[in-house]
Parts: sequence; C-alpha cells; structure tokens
Amino acid sequence: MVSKKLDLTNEAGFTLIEVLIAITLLSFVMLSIVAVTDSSMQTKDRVISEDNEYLQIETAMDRVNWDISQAYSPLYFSHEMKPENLNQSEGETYNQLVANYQSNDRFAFPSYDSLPVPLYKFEDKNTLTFFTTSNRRKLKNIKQSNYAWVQYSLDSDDDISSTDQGVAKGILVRRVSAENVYDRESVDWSRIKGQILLRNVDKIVWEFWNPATRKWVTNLAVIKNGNHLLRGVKLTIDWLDPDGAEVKIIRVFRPLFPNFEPEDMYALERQNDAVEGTTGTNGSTGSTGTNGSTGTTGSSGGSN
Amino acid sequence: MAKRLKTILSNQKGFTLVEVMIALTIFALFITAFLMSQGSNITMSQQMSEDIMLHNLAERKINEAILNPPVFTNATENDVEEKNFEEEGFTKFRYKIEYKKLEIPDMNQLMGRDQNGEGEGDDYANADQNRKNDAVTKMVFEKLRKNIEQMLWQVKVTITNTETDYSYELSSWVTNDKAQMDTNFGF
Repeated sequence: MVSKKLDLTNEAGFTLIEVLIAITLLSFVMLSIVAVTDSSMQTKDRVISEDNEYLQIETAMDRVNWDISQAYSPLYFSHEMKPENLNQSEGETYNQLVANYQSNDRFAFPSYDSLPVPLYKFEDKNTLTFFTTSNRRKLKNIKQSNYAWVQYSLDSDDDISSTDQGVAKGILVRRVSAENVYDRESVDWSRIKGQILLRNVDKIVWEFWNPATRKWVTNLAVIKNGNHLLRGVKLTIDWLDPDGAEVKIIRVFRPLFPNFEPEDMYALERQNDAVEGTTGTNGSTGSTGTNGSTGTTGSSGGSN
Repeated sequence: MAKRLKTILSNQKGFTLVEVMIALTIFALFITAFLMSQGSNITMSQQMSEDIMLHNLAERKINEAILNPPVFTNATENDVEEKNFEEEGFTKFRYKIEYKKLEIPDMNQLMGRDQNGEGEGDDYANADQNRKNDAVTKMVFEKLRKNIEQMLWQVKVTITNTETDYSYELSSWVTNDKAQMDTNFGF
C-alpha cells in the first residue's frame, strides 16, 4: 500500500559532507541575521535611554518655567504704600498695618492697595525662593490656594559616593510650601520633602534680568525691587549625560505679568486734589485712589 | 547504497532561475523593510531632539527680545539681527531676530466696510450726514490703528543649525512701552 512517492523504507540519508556544508551555509546566514537584530536592539535601547534623559531635562525645565512664569508680586501692578495725606485715624491704621511686617519673614511691606509684597530670597548662589501662583490643589477641600512659596536648590545626592566616576553629585530640587502662605514665620524648608527634578547636575547658575542696566546679574539686591519681583531669570545648568560628557543647558524664563511701570498713585491723588481745588469743589474726598485703570488719561483731563 | 547515492548526486534537477529570483526578491523586500524601520527610528529620534534643541534656543531668544526690546522706530523693520550663538557648545547655531509692525487684518470689516474700503449709506436720504459720520469713523479707526501699531510689534526668531541647515521659527508679540500715543480725536 506504500506509494512510490512516500518511500519510508528508503534508508538513504545525506552524507557527512553534505550535512557539514549545509550547517556551514546556515551558520553564515544565521550570523548575519543575528548581527542585524542585535544592532537594532542596541539602537532601540540607546534611543529609549537617551530620549528618557532628555525628557527628564524637558520636564524639569517645564516645572521651573511653570513656577517662574506665574511668579507673583503686587509690585507688578502697584507700588509701596506710603504714609501720605493721612489724617489721625488713617495714620494709626497705617502704623498698625506696617507693624505687622516688622517681624514678618515672608512679606516685606504692604502695597498701595494693602496687598502684602513678598520677599524673595537668593542664597548661596544656588537657592532661589519666591512666591508664585502656580500651585494647584491635588486633593479636594485641602487648605491650599494657587499661592505657594517655592524654593529651588542644588542639593547633593547622598546615594552617590564621591568615588563614583563620571557622575555628578548634584540634584536640582524643588520644594513647595502651599499651606498657610501668609504665615509670619519663615518657611521651615528642612522639613519639606523635596521633589528631585534633575540628577547628575554639576553646577547651576541663576541670573536675573536687571531692566535698569539691561544686563543679567547674579545678585538680586542690585536690581530695583529685585527682592520683591522677577523680570527675567536665566538658568544655566552643567549636566552630565550618561556617558559622563558635560551638556550645557541654558534657559530664559519670564513671568507672564506684562512689563509696565505702575502709575504713581500718590502723584495722581495730589494732581486730582489740585484740580478739585481750582474748580472750587473743595470736597474732602482726597483718597479716591481707585481710578487706577484710567491713570494714563489723567494728564489730559487736567488741561481742560 | 553507492548506486543510490550516485543517482541522488547525479540528479540534475535544480531550481529554475525564476524561482531563485523570486525567493531572493521576497527575502530582499523583508530585509530592506526591517532595516529601513531601524534607520527611521534613529533619524526620527535625532530629529526630535534637534527640534527640541532649536525650539528651546528660539524660546530663549524670544524671551530675551521681549525682556530687552529695541527702541522701535520705522527703521526697526529693516534692522535684522543675525548672529551665531556665543556660548560654548552652541556656536553651530545661528539666530535671526526680525521685528515687524502689526498689521490688523480685516481692518475694513472692523469698520463696517466692504473689502475695498467703500462705505455704505450713500443711498439714504440724509447722505450728507452719513458721509460726515463716515469721515469721523474713518479718522477714529485710523488713529486707533496707528496707536495699536505703535504699541504692539511682532518679533520672529529663526534658529538655524549651520551644520545641517535645519531651521526652526518662533514668533510672538513685543510691547513698546515708549509708544507715543495720539489721543487727540478732535472732540
């Protein structure tokens, strides 16, 4: 019943030479295939790890941008409150208000509209502390608003021993204090757990825009109102990539508040008083300081 | 046994040329598709990181331009700044900063006119009054347009990688805080 074509009784096989030749040929083919797949796997690994490293940088810089772009200070649209044109009771209120700021470590003085003006700090060339509206509540009904104190610093990574080659010990850390932002006591940053933004940081340089000289400076104090508001921040980071090569990251961040010189409300008040005095309506409403938005047309009104 | 081996070895039937060619073509197709996908992975990753790099440089320059705007005059439009970055590691990148006056689009429509700037209302009985009103509207809108042109400028930053000639463009607004406003409307 066995057909001629399927001859299972045929004992003839391949000779040793035939098998050897087949194996040799096959091994060449397999070698080339393995080489191709192996290189593609290596490429995939490299691309993924590199992209992850750079994604980490982007995420960190986005975080800094988010905070600085929403940095807050009443001085963006107002100026310091001064004891001017006050009667007895107003003067007492002013003294009480200002006395609150004497022992305050977070806010320096009240603005014209009685808003607390924050006190920014820049310490040891690395640590920048400022007030921002970038906070977002993560949980419902917790006592937080959009306001927060944020601190950026360069800490040392304790997981890395100093003998490790090709790794920098520095880590860029962000700390945020969003509860009780108007507390008088200074923020206890040592008790706040930092969020690590970037590892392998060799060095960071913060620079601040000085609008008066149109230059970047490394000292907040030389800028007019520099301790209370930011105009522009330049951050330079020396970062070591996984191969130990140094990569320079330079970014410029800018608060979103439009840049304009706030009108001097006391000068406007004096002007209004003078106008009222000449027209004879000698009312006692000298403190109508709410016409801030129409401040620019004030001068043309005076010529009528 | 030997006889059988002889018959096997003496079997002259092989694959035809066409069969071999087809097999080779199919194999080649698969291999090229595979290799190409690998190559495009690498190029796309490189292009992405270059895009990000150029975007960041452009953003930096735009921010610096907004922080430090030039003194805006009529000549500012022709005043194109084109330089290489000076920082170490960035010297192969070239930036170009251009400023342009703001042109309000569809100004005629905003004024309630048709495309050619022709006003309506000549057919009415009091055509004189209409024409007078029209002149006032025209004057007010013209002054508004000029004031806005003074206040708001456009800035465009183009970053080019001089090695690959790949470039990236970003634009934004700059405000002119020294703008001279014309507020005299005559009434």
